[in-house]
Amino acid sequence: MKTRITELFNIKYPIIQGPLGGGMAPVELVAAVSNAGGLGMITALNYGSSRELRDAIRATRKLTKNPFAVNVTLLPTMRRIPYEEYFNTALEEGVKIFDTSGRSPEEFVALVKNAGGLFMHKVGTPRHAKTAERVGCDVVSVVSYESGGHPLPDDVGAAVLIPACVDSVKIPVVAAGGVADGRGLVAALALGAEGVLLGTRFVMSEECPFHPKLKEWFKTLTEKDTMLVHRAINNNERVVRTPFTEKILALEESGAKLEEILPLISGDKVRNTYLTGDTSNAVVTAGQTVGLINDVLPAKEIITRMIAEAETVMQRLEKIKGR
Amino acid sequence: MKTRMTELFGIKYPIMLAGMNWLTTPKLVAAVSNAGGLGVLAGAQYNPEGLKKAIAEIRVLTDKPFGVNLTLGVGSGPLAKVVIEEKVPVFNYSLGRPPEIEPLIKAVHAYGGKVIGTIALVKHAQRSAQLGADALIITGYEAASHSGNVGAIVLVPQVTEAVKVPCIAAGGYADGKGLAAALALGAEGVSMGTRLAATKEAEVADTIKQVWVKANEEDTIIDPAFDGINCRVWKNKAAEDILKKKGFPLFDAISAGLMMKKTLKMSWGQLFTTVRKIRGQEAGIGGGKRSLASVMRFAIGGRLFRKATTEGDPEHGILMMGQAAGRIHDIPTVQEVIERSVAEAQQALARMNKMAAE
Repeated sequence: MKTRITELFNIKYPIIQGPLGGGMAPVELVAAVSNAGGLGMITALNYGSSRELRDAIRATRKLTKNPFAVNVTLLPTMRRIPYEEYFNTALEEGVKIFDTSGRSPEEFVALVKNAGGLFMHKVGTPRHAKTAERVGCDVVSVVSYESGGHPLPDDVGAAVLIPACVDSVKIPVVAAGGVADGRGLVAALALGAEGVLLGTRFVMSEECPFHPKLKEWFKTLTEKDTMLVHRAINNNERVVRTPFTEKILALEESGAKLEEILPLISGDKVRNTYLTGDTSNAVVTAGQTVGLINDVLPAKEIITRMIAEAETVMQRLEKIKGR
Repeated sequence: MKTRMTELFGIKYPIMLAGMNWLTTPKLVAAVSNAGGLGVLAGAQYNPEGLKKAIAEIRVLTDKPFGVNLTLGVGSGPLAKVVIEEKVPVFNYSLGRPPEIEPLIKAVHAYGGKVIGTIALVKHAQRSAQLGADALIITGYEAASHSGNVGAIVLVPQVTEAVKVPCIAAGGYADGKGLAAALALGAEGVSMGTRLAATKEAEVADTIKQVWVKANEEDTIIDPAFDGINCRVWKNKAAEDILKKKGFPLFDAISAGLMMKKTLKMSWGQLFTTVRKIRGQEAGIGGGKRSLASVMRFAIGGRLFRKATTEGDPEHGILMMGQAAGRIHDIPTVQEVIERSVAEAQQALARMNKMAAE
């Protein structure tokens, strides 16, 4: 499969593993995705220091010869992050592809571009896509309403948001949100995207250390089982509906102060939940695609199956078109 | 273009008009059918005599298949009777409970008509298919008016996997890219609402058509405040005012209720039965229960929607509008919309074939 994304990133398939916080994107997953012809992605903020990030990049290199990316999330955090150090470390280690999200990446684009790297940035509206293009990004990934993690609170679905962003920029667009299989891949391409970025689907991979109990739970979830929280504190997030997340939402809607909410949603608690499987006191993020995912597969199989499905879909479409 | 949708209804293109209250008129419905799509008239905007007349008008304007949509529950019984008496080729229902739905499907099948159920959840899709619906409309979150909370890109593949009947994707579709995407997701065609209302043939004020042309995809809000169930509308001042209103507008509710009684020529007894019936319904195609306040909002909503559509007042009225409005930049004819969409979809497929081959 050949699109501007496969050409630019020098990958076989236009399938990208999205950043997964809480330590959910270990080097084994990143390397497996890249080895299968997709683009694996190291999530820099999973590492407490640039030294740990350097180790992770080196460990990934040992496992794959193919390109992989480093994501640096620029969202508000409770700890201070030495962003520039992370970028510099990854560049020193020869990483060529960077992915950011959360706010305008302008201050880091030159750093990466001067070192000959490529810059991809997550956007949630055509306005931000234009800004990203203007400040020099090579690719935008469009995070729609369906997405796990942090979609923008404009709540626009992929079916509308992808073509709107495609129309607003010349650089290639990646669909992030709502895609988990070959049907979604073809739909995203039809809407004008040139690649897809998957989060929840790779959480449900054998390489992801998400607790087995949670993986079993995810298999049973349907399209109705996610909800949005943290809108009141400007950090919109799609999470699985649980008694705990309902409680958080009620607290936020009652106008609770940030200081009351923050301790309940700390990253440490989330990480702990992912590793122990106890969902009683932390939020678990997931995209609406959780309703489409019913199995845990090796990352390689996720990709090969998507491509095979996409081919079947294309054959069906060819018949519809031709008749 | 041939899909299970075109074969089922005997139409040329896999595109249908969404049955929108106060926007679908016989002229628009016939224009869509004449252009090779499936025109659908919203029945709930008429009383039984009015509906009968409208169906006759459609038949004067086209000899192609068309449909009538009804929201089951509020005074829909006599309207459904008209649909059956008139042997309307396609009957499209939304909401409703199995004891209401099943006999209707049987009656339509008895004269050789086809039935489409509108759903926004996998569970409801399975139920409608079991009850005998011939096709389903899957309403994604992007849609104008009532929907659930699941985006089309996720909901469409889920539903098409769960049922055998052909599915039509609704919500967010305004062009050929969307049509190609819907087909990729497993749908057999699309339903267009706002896009087909923003056409030359639509009998709605130009002020309203211009709202759709100018709006972008972020200019809608979805909230139960407008008519009691989650409803997507244009984010204008009137809509934001309703959202800001703290308490419940009791006076508005009563006066709107009286207007509903008068418009539908109901007796006091009928009005109370209707209100009781609405309370017993599910709160929209996304599920949930209705409160009395939500029933009263339904009456207020009806009045405000008409202010926008029939009176053409975009300032004080509430206008149902899908996120696809952001994809609308012109007011072409219905035929142009349909043929352009089909050509664009074919281009998208050709482009993807090239990607896949290399």
